[in-house]
Amino acid sequence: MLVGLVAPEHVAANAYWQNVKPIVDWQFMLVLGISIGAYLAARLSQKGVEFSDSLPNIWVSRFGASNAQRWIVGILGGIFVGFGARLADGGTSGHAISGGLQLAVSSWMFLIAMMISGTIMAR
Amino acid sequence: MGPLEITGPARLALGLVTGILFGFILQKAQVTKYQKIVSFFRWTDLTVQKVMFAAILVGMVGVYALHDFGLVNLHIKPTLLGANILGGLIFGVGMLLLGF
Repeated sequence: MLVGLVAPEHVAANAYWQNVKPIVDWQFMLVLGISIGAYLAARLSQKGVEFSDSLPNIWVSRFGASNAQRWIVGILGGIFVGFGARLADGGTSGHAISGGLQLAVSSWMFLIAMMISGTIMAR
Repeated sequence: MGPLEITGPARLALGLVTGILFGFILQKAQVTKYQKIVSFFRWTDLTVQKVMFAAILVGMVGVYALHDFGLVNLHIKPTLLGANILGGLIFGVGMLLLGF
């Protein structure tokens, strides 16, 4: 979408954007809303959620307190999540919840595969 | 699309409102925490399982009720077993590493 502002002819020529129109649709607004909603929930919490950039305790006890390592693993995890979600055509929400409740075969396969690989990795 | 479909700018607004509610609930359910996601895969804390399957069960009843009244259409994603399973395997690894 941002590329469309600076190089519209490039976007028009790109096969992906011909297939998936770069417009602000309801799903874009949903993603925006999730961040806002989660932020509000944390802010309005009675207990008061601490906004900190410190590493999670269980991460530190397993891998140590290196910030760089957490960044690298976090970005790597993001790449895996993004790639996996695009390949399977959905993630935890689109497949596991939304597809699972419609009893879609594809979604249950995804959910089971996701739980297996995650459980193995968590060991 | 069923008769309940909303179009135009209202659709965008509804998307935003739904997103805000969804994000709010996710945070309140504590599934935005790194610790909860790792425990999900270690099976030591079943919070995420409870949230996920509660959502699936409630949604299942609601969506199929609306569907039986002819108000909505189902959106079942195509079954591409290779892509679904491989994608799921990769996604699971990523979700654990990142902690969502």
